[in-house]
Amino acid sequence: MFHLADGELRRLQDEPASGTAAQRRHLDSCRSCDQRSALLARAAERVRRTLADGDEPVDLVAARSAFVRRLAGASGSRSGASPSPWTFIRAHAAWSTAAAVAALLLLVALTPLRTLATGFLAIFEPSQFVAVPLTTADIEQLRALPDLSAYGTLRHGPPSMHRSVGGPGEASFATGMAVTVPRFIPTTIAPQPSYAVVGRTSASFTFSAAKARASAAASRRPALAVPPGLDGSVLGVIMGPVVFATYHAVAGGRPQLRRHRGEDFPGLLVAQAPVPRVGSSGASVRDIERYLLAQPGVPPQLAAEIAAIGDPSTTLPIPIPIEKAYAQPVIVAGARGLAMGDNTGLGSAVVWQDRGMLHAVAGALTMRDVLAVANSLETATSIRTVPAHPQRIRVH
Amino acid sequence: MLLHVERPPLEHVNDAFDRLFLREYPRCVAIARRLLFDPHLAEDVAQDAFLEFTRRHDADAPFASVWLHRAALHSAMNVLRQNRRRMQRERKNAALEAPLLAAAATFDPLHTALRSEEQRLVRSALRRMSGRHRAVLALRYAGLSYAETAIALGIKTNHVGTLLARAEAALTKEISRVPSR
Repeated sequence: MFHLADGELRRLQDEPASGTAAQRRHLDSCRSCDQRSALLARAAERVRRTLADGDEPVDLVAARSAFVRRLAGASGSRSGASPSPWTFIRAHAAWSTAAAVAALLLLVALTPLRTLATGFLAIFEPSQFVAVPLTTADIEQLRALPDLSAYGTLRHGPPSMHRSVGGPGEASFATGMAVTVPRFIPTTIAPQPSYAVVGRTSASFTFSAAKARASAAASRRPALAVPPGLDGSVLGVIMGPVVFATYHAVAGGRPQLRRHRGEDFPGLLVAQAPVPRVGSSGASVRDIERYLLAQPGVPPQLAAEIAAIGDPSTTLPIPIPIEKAYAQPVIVAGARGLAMGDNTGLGSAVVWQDRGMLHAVAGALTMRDVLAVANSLETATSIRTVPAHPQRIRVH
Repeated sequence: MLLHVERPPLEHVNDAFDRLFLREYPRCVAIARRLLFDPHLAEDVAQDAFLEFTRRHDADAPFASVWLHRAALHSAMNVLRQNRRRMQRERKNAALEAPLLAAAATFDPLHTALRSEEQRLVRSALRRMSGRHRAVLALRYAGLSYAETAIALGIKTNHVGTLLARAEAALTKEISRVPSR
């Protein structure tokens, strides 16, 4: 066989599968070709280093946002500030009992590890929700429980992104999810939402019998024997990404809330995230449940109610402070969910799971309005490119 | 610039435009960056290419990727040509050879100076090469396969290796020469 040409040698370095068997055999046995190949590889490596210098990753979400603005002929800056959803949660928690329920709901529904810390269950892909009534005394008792570090080691995954985005299309692009938007917005709510996304995050927790014993001894609590299967067992949790749409209440909204808010006080939050997934290296959900509920300080009545839940691997217990709020099962867009409201009628929330996606709608609204918003959710369209009809380009 | 932006897995993006953007925008930027050595100009080129494409074609057009690669390549080459006069002035005046890659600067002044000098040499060397050699280097080192590079350049796939090897040898030789000012 003839010697390989420089072009053939060069391509074999980058795309080995492109060569024929005869070429590869020749290269293996021909010293001349092998030496030329080495020279070409050295030159290529030098060029690669030269041209790769300073090649930072592209911020694709920002790039897409800029592109959408140019496509729409916008002057540049996004219309309106984009308040963080955390502002919404904090503000409501501070001023409204109703939104405290919503915040609690999101906290529990979106961070299952937190449920471990308060004696509830980490569960594997929840598909239904059960209200667990808590009295003020129960809450005080649960607060007195030690945190997770008393039972093992918690490790967080890499920090996830948290950023404002321009709309549902951009949120969909940033998260890879089909983002839903409500067709119905109550008249007390301004119809222009601001969007934010939080990236996927993960955490793991390793149970440790030794740590549990030491922690119990240090706090002079009776040490509860860690079941053999639980010691060393690792729980992995994957949560997110989460998309938040925050809507403001219009001026002149509900008078009870006006007393407590500025005019830009957000009035509605629509959130969605893939169902959190929890995996275990050994212990079953039932093992964990039994151990945690047996901890000294967990109210016996509460433990009995959680233990009575049929299948803990698919059911998320949501704590409801019964002196301030109520909950009822509902059907949202054909899926089973749980609606919650505060006893004074100031605010409501509903959470449900549909085809692997966890949805939550919460706001300073009546239960009827929140359910109407929830039932009106539909998948947002993104950028559509239509040849020769630029006026039909739809941008969100 | 954002170093830790999470990119959704391509298979989870349903929208045709978003899939195209996710796949091809970084490559268009990379092509332009290897010709212009300016991240901001490179992004402008990629944005222009996508804008022009979107006004003319469907996102799921089978030729979308090729169209965008060619548009980014030609647009970046045009920018180079437009700037030729300015660059000639720059060559005569070392003071104007300021680093273009401000975004890539580090906080180490010595490192920054060395890097800028190296980039100046590379830009200078590339300017002395033929357009075809510059193009094959930009396309291939932006991550395009040999087949994609061939389509973008309008040549046979078998010829890409030859052109690439010659371009790499030429660039190596040019860099090792004292740059003319």
